[in-house]
Amino acid sequence: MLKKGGAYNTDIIGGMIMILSSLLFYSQIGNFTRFGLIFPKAIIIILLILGIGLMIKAKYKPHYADIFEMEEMSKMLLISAIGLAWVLLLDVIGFAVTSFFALSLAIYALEEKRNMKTLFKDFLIGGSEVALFYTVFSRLLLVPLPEGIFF
Amino acid sequence: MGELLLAATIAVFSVKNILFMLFGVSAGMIAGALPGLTATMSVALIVPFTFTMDPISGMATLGAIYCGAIFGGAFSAILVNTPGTPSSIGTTFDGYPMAKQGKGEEAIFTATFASAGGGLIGTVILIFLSVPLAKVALKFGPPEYFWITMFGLTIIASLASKNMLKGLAGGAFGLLISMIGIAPIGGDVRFTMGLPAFQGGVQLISVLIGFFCIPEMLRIAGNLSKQKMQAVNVEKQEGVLARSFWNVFRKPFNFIRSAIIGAFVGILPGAGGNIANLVAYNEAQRASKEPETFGTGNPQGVVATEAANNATVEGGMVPLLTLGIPGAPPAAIIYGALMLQGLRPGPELFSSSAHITYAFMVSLFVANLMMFVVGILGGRSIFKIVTMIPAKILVPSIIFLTILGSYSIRNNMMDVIVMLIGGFIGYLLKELNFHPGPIVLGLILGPIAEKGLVQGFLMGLSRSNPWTIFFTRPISIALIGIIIFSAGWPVYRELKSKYQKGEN
Repeated sequence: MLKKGGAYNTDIIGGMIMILSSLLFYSQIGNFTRFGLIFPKAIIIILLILGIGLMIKAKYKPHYADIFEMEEMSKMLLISAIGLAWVLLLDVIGFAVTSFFALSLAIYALEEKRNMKTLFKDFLIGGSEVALFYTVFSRLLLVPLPEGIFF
Repeated sequence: MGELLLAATIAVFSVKNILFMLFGVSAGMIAGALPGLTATMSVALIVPFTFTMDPISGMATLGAIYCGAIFGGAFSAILVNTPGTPSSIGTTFDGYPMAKQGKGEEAIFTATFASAGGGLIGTVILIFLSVPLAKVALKFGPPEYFWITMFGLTIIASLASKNMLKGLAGGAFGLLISMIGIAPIGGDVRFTMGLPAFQGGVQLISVLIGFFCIPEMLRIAGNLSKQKMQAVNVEKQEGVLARSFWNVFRKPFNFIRSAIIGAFVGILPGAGGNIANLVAYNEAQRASKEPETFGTGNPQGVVATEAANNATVEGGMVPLLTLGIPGAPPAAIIYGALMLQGLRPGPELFSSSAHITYAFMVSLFVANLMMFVVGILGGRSIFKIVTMIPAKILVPSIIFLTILGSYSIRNNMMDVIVMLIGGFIGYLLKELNFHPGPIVLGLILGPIAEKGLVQGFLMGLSRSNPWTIFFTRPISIALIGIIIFSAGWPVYRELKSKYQKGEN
C-alpha cells in the first residue's frame, strides 16, 4: 500500500527510484570495452536487486513516513523556486544582479511579516552581502564570475 | 619524522596561516553552535574559499573549521539543550542542567578545556599512528585497494544499520553516479546521458555541497519557527576559570580515557563523534564512584563527551590520510579538498607530499590550542552572535554560498546545476529515509574501487582464474576478515538491541 493514514510507504517509492535509476544507467551502456564494463554492470545489477528487495520489503515489512511534512511547505517551495531561477539566470543576467535580487527576495520570502519596510531592509541586507562576496571572489580570489547581460 | 615535524611547524606558523586558522576556528564555532548547521556543512561551504590558497593554508583552514564546528556544538547543547552538532548529544545530559543551576559559564569553560585537550591528545595519536599505517599501506597493490574501498563501504553498515537495504541501495546509487564520465581504466566515455558537460564526470565537491547543504536549508525554510533558540541566561562568576580547569584535571583518567575513546572510535569507519561522545559518557558514568550524579549537572559528563568528540576529528584523519578512506562525512569533504589541491589521499601523502601532510597534522594541534583561546576569550560572545542570526537570513545566505562555491571550483555553470539537482535529489532521498552518507561514500570510493578491481583483474590474467588474486594475497585475506567484522558488528549490535527490546 503506497499510503496509509497520510504516511507514505517510503520503501515502495525508494525501491522504484532505485529500479528506474538502474534501468536508466543500463540503457546508457554502449560500446564499452571489457574493462570499462565490468564494474558498472555489476553495480547496475546490484542496484536493481536492491531496488527489487526494497519493493519486497515494502510488501512484508513496510516503512511508512510523513514525507514533505513541514510547518510551512509554501516557504520551502518558494525557496526552491528562487534557488532554481537563481541558478538558471546566473549566466544570462549576470552574477551580481541575479544574486542581489534572488538573495533579497529569498530573505523577503522567509519574513513573518511582509511589507515595504521589510522589503527595503531585506534588499539592503541582500545588496550588502552580494557586494561583499562579489568583491572577495572577483577582486581578491580572482574568480571570473558569470557576467551575462549586466554583471 | 622529527625533522619533518619541525619543518611543518615552521610552515604552519606564518602570520597568514594563523589568521586563516583563527578565522576557521571562530567560523566553525559559530556554525557548530547553530543547530541545523553541521560540521560537514561548515567544511563544505569553506572548501571553495580554500582551493585558491596554497595547500598548507587551505588544509589548515579546513582543519580549523572542522575542529571549531565540533566544539561549537557544545554551546547550544549547554545553553539551549539542543546539540549544535550530533557529536554534542551527550553534552546536553549534564551541560544543560549545569546551565540551569546558574553554572552556564563553568559548563562552557569546562567544555572548552576538555575539547581542546581532547583534540590535542587526538592529534598526538594521529601523528604516531598514521606514519606506521602509511608504511603498511605502501605495500598495497590493486587487489588490496579494492578491498580497502570495500572496507570503506562497510561504513554503510554503521550509518544505515536501522535500514540496511536503503543504505546499500544508496551506496550503489553513489557508485553509479561516480561512473559518469571517463572510465579510469579503458578510457570509455560512460553514462553522460548525452550531455557533453558530463564527459569530465560530476564535480565531487559540488555534489557534496548539494547533498549536505541544500536538504538541510530546505528543511529549515519550511520549519522556521522551530529554529528560534531560547537560551539559558549566563551570568559571570568569580573563579570560574580555575573551577573549570579543575573539573577537567581533577580526574585526569576520565579526560584521557574519553579522548582515547574518541580518537579510536574516530578511526573506525562510520563511527564518528556522534557515537564517541555517547560511548565516552557511558564509560565515564560506569567508572564513576557517584554514577547517580550523571545527568544532574556533573561536570565529568561534559568533560567525557567533549574530550571524546573533539578527539574523533583527528582519529577520523588516520584512515583518510593513510588509506584514502574517509571515515566520516566531514572527512569526505576534506578528501575532496585534498583532490582539489592536487593531492591524492593515501600513503603517497606521506612520501611525495609529506611536508603538506605533516603541516596539516601540526595545524590540527595549533587549531586546538587556538580553539581553547577563542573559547575562553570569546565563547560567550560567539554564542550571542549565534542567537542574533535569524534563520530567514541564514538560509538564503547559505544557498548563496553553495552557488558561489560550486561555481568557483571550475568556473563552470554545470557544476552549479549539478549541485542544485544533487541537493534536490538529496532532499527527496532524505525524506524517503535514505541516509546521505552511503551515497556520498559510494561517490568517493567508486573510482578507487573500480580501478582496484580492473587492475587486480588484469594482474590476475596470468592465472587460470583471474579473480583468485583477490582472495589469495595475505593482506587481502586480512582485509576481508576486517571487512566481515566491520560490516557484521553493527548488524549484530542492532539485532542484539532489537532482541533485548523484545525481551523487555
